[in-house]
Amino acid sequence: MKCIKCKGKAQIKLPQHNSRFCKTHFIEYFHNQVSKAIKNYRMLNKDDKVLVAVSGGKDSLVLWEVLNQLGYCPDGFYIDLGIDDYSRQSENTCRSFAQQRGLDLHTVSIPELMGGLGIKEISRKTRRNPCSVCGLIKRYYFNHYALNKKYNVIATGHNLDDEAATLMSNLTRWQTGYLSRQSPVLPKNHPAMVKKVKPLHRLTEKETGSYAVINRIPYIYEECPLAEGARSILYKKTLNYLEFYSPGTKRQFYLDFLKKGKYNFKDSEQANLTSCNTCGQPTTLETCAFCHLIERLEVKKQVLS
Amino acid sequence: MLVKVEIPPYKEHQFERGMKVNKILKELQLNPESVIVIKNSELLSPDDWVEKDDEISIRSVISGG
Repeated sequence: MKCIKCKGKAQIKLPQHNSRFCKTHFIEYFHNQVSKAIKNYRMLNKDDKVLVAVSGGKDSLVLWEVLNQLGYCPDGFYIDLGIDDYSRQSENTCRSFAQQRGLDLHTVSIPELMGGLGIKEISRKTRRNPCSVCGLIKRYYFNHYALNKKYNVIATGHNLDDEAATLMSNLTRWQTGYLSRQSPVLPKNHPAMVKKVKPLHRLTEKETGSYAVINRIPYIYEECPLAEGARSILYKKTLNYLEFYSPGTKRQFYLDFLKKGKYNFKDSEQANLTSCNTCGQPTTLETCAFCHLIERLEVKKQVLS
Repeated sequence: MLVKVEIPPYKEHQFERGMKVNKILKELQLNPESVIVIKNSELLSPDDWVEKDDEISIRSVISGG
């Protein structure tokens, strides 16, 4: 198998592009895809103050690496979710990644901020799905922390598979509001909201995993113990099944949705974005979902320093 | 060849002969789109040949939640 660019030994085959690349040209292809995403959606400028949300997994660390290599000088932000050894290992992985590259890593701890409770305990107490609680808490602190520290962009490692799985989930339930808002860029459309970007949205999980291995980026590859049986995994496996028999399906499904499908869905909620009467963060309700969660948990929320 | 599947339930498989990566994935009923195959920290392509004395590991690339 030969690289389509240099005819050297190919290291990776990309059936969705009918392409094969050696290490050097795969890295070049990968960086080009990220640059294209950034340019097409005007995600970042070189003088932006960028915070990358990192988990210790392949996607977020690869994103941090690539943005750094492309000259965006991003800082990292890790949230300790209080999930036993998994969280400890994840934090250590992020710390050693940052240390080796001389990058700044900021951290906050959910048990410290929420009365000693981790995601597992919060999920149990509120009888809510752990992934849903985790997503809600992470989104709140990403925005809150970035706003406090005057970052003007938050970059997350969402990849093509994440976005295609979300699209499939929203379509199967005809969540028209979510469909209208699903985008690689969530603009700052409230004074207390920080712009969010997804520069890996053109790249598959197979590609980010391959990039991590080729570039010797150590990452946590064990699945989060609380994510077992998550519906998003079922959607990803289903999309990969389609992709195996019909290469390019996943990419076309998501990228063509952005080009041709999205505009058919009308955003009914975004227009009603207001400030939470408790914390001031953006919400479509009087009190935001995070403050409702805090109320239900009966814990005193700690203020971020 | 020893194949360590680093996906729950973390099974190990022994093959008595060498074969290509895509053949190994087919034997284990794994979708090549959902995994990466590694030998000595190097990524293997689907067409790479694995010798009968080699040891490889297979990782899932699907992250969830």
